Amino acid sequence: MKTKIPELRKERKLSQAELAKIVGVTRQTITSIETEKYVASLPLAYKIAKYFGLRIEDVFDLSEEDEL
Amino acid sequence: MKLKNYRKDLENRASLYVVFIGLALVFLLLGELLLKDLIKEDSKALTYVVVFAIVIELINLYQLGKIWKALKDENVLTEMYIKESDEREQLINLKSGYPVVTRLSMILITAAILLGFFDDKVFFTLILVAILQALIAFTLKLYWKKRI
Repeated sequence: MKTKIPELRKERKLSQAELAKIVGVTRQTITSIETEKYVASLPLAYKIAKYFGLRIEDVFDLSEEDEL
Repeated sequence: MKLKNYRKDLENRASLYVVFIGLALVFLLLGELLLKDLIKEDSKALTYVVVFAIVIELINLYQLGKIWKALKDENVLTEMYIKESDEREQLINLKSGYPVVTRLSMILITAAILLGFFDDKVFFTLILVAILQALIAFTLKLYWKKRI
């Protein structure tokens, strides 16, 4: 799933480790989300979006997900 | 609140480790004092039994040290909590079966140590199974860590 987390982090001059600590996950989890290897759970996606003051759909791009 | 509960959980775990280490020491002493006559003198496994028992004791001591360190330092406690509750880490563990297999291996090794006093073949078979299944789980964990 595509995400705008790297851009949002750069805007706020925030490292992966700092964001990870804020939302309560490991740095590796943020890396995996950014490299589209791992899809964040709904609670985590909500926490990240809330931190940036955005909606989940503004941070994560759901349009390219496979549809039935 | 979550950290407070986690701290309590760690304190319980530390108590369990202390009990386990104490029990293991008692069993080692009992083995030396009471079961010595039952043990076959030509047993090849006996040396390994003692070595494995000591290794398990050292692992438990290491885990206990980690917990005590976390209980003293708030930053270490937070890091430990994040690592244990991390959702990606939990998914990797679930996919590799790592927590279940390591616990099973510990049970097998404990059984092997106890039975090793009486039968070499049983000891080596159980140890081999425990090590192999732990290796498989570890390999799977590494695989999933790279994939997700």
